[in-house]
Amino acid sequence: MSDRDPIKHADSRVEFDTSEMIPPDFDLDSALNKKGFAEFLAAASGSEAIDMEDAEQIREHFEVFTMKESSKIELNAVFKNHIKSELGISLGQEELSLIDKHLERQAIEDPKGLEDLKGQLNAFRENPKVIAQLEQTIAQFGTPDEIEGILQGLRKDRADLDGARDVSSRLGRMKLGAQVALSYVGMAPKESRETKETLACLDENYEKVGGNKGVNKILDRTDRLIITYEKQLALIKQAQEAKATLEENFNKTRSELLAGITEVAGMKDQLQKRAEESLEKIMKGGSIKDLEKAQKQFERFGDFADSDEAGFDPLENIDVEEFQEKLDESLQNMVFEEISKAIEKTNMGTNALSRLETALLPMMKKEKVGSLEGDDRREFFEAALQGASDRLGDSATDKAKRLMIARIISKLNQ
Amino acid sequence: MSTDLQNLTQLIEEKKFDEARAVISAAVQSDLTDDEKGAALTGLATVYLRMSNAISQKYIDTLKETITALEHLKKAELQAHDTVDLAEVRAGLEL
Repeated sequence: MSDRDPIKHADSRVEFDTSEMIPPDFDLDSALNKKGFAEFLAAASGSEAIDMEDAEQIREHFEVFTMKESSKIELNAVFKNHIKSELGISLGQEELSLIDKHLERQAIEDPKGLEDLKGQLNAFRENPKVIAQLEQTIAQFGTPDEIEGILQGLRKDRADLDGARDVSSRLGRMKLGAQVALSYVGMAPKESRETKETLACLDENYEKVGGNKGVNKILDRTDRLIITYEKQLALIKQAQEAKATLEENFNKTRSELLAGITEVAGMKDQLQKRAEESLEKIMKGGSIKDLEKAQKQFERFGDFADSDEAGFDPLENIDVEEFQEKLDESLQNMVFEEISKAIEKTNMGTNALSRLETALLPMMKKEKVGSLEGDDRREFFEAALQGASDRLGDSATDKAKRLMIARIISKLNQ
Repeated sequence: MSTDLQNLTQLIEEKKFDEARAVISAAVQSDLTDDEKGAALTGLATVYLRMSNAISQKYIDTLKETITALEHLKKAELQAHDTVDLAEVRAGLEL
């Protein structure tokens, strides 16, 4: 830093942690060539006294400038990718540009506030990665199912060992206890437990294990392992519960915080208007795809209103039943026309039925037609196929097609 | 810009999220200039980020504590194995 009074933004006490962002090979000329930086520098208080040879001083301003630019992009993304998806609506370009302008001002007037925002944006971006990494580490300790499996095995070993010890006590054949114990620690293959060779081997080595003492030792170890795995299982389940709580908290936050957003700046009215406009725009698109998109959007707005998260109903000003009827009618007409076209274009001959079914598949595979699903959907397709059949003429091909359609209708009802 | 909006950052820093939200709602329901609207929307996003980050951080802390406890248990498990010197027993048995 030069020994002259430094050019500073409004809060001269601000000290940035610039280690992350200042490039070690900071080039003053390159920075000055960056779009908007010269204007930004000129807007700083005391800019008239700027020393254009003082790279260190300019670098500090460049840091704030860079932070501002990246914050604009990231904050826009938060609105577009999070607030939009969580509320089912988005801010318009006009509102987003107001945020950009605010950040421009903040960089000059309140760089400390901007730094704080940038920190929050960084954490918001990085937290999911940190969480994924930590969850992966926990996953390495095993899934609850895997640990349950281990515990089950240990408990069985424990019970076998106990049982064997009881039997051996009664029969005076301690080798039975040792047999199970040694199987457990992998010193005797389980599949040959019952073989004479194994029993002979166990007999021979029973004393070497340490007799009863050795068996007890293994029992003790098994007990401790059971306790360890039980604790491990409890911890992993606890982490899973914490994840569920995390999601619950996010939902709660959405309800509590974002419910407020709808009251913001008369946004409720704007958002309702936007919901209506978006539906209208999609409807005007005129293709089946557009109408299906409108249906999905319409259902999403409906769910959104029912969820109580928003605190308002985006469809409040729309006659919902009338809209749905209109949408259904348009969509059904278009699907019917597509079915008729497919029938008309398909030739008879070899594999006539299969070819007709394939031609109709893009329409027939739809699980919903507007609001119609289940039996209503099936009845619609039946009627549409019948309608298309009635349209056909009296030629031999058309008569053949009529028969094929009758077959397809009968399959619909199977 | 209204005094309330100027206090917004302060409220957020003090984690007074309810008040911050109330300020945003109250402020923007009145007629706002574009500058104020931009500030309000940024403030709203800041509250959203802070709350989301606080929730995530709590979860991160829980995960870290869980990992520490699991590692501790892993050590205990290894010790349980070590108590019975299996290698020595195996060697003795020559199985």
